[in-house]
Amino acid sequence: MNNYVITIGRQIGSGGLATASMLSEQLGVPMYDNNLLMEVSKQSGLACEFFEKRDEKAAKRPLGRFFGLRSTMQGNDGFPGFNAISDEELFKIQSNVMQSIVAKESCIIVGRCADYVLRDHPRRLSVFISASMEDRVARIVAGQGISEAEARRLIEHGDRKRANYYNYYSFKQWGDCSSYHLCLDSSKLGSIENVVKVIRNYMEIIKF
Amino acid sequence: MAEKIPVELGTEKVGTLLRQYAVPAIIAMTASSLYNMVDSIFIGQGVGPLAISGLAVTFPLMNLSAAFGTLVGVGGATLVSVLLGQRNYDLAKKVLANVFILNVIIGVIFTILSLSFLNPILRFFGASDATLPYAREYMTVILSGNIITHLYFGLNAILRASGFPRKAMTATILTVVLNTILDPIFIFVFDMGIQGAAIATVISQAVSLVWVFRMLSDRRKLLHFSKDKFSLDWKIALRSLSIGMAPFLMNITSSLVVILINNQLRRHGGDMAIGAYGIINRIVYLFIMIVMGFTQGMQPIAGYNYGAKLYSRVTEVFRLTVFWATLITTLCFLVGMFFPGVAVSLFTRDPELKAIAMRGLRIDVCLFPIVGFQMVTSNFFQSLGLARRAIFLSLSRQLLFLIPCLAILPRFFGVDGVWMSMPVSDAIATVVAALMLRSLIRTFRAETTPQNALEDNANSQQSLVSSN
Repeated sequence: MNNYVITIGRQIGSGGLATASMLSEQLGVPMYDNNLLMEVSKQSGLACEFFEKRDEKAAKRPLGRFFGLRSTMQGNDGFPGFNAISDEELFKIQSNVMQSIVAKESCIIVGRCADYVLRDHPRRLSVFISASMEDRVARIVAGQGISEAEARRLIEHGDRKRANYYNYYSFKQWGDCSSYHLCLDSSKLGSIENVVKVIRNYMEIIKF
Repeated sequence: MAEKIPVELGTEKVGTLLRQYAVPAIIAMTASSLYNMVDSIFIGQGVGPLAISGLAVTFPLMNLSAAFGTLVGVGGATLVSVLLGQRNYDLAKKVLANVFILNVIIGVIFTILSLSFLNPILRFFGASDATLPYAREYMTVILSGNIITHLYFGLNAILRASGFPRKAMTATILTVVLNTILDPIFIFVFDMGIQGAAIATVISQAVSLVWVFRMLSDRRKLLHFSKDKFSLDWKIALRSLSIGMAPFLMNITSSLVVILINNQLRRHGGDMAIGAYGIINRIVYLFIMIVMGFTQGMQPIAGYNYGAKLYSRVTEVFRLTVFWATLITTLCFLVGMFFPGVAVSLFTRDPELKAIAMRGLRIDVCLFPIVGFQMVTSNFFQSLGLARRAIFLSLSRQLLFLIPCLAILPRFFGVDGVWMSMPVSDAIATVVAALMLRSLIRTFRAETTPQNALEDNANSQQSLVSSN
């Protein structure tokens, strides 16, 4: 199997998505971000919005379990039963689809615990991209046309959500450098072009 | 080896699917209710009417013990099933070891605390001078074997979650069969009374535990006990406890309700009324558990089709499950109404106890034909991932409406008031369930209408083409 996969984890507003799409263009391989959900929906027969609603969200947190009480995962007696629309099952479906994609082609996958799901892939490069708070706010203000305060809130909320999601399913720590091959600060590098350059240099050095 | 998504949930005939998914669940549920029933029958027939009351007094304590068992077991089983789905076998083994350790720790603490305060606890749960000795004798043995019980339930749940539901079910059935064989031996042959029943229970669970343990020690399996993983991991422990918290609280509330029932019965009717409740509870539960089996079978089918937006199939499986559930609860109603004597005489020959139990059973099941609908509806919400509404409905029947009824009605009607509380709260809960279901069905309609219109359009165009 000569297919490779590059997984990109990213802080909100760090330019991870832009990096992924530039990389995808230069390497000539497809990139999966939100479009992964469409593929998942097609393969499972479940409506896309079910995956969208839970995209990169952890299953109910302990307190949520306390009040939301029994998750759909559990049967009548409280022990796990099978339900295709439980959070855990949806994650499993998404992971399986991810596996089937990388078995077919080389690609780039953004977020969604891809580095954990594909941890046994023989040719995998996992990257994490961060940036300074100012840069992230600026990027989001420019990209979504919202106020600075709103952007800050979005970042805080979004980071927490992504971390919860990642930690919940991977049993690891989101953004912890030991989980990734390459961690980059896009602010320090100045531009997305440079970020892509570093990644490609890295690939060359390790003869990826 | 990507696991296959069961797409047939969206295509296969709904009736066939329900049979496939419900039958194993029904067998498992019936087995566990039979288990308790057998114990009660032998105690009632072999030891006497007061022993039945003594046994009924222990129900809340048994519930409490089961609550602590599920606290660990549910979380562990859920984590194992998630981790195996991710092929993370190392961590799954760690979870298995942690379930073992936590069960032992919590089991030991529970045993020590409950044994040292056994008398006041049992008094609080409704024991009198006459029934306390029976309850004490029974619980001393059961509590001493508490760790075995917890380990058996916890590990069996993991066995089930790790892809061996059949083996887990075999273990459950093994306990029932062993208990049925051992009960008469200890009660009649060894003449050990109510204690004999408790010993039989602990032994049969111990044997099943050994069997389950051997299954989980098989090194060829992906999940098995391994020595190097055997240490308490706080992160895993906290995570599984937080998952188990919800079923734990459910068990605690049901324990509280039984305490209230027992105390009201003792105040208004004495020991015999508590014994009668013990009998009624066992009879009714047999039917309730079968309904639970059906709802368990409905869950994956309703869930998948809801996710796939195949609403007509969602309502179809709901209707079918309501039909079967109503059939079962109506059967319970018929037995309770027309053959209460037959059902009650399984448990006792004492004329006084029999009379009270028969009257209680009649009142208790007088609205049972509608209970099937209520139970299926609350589970229906759960299968669609609408957990909050599901939990509200499930609590409404067993707690929210029941507690005020239990507090008020006995003042006016005495013991009858306690029995009446159940159908009254059933009736209110059913109305609430029907209202919530109506609003849910409306949202289905709202979502399907445009789609239907499109299909109709396509059909009419087709017919136009063919007529040309």
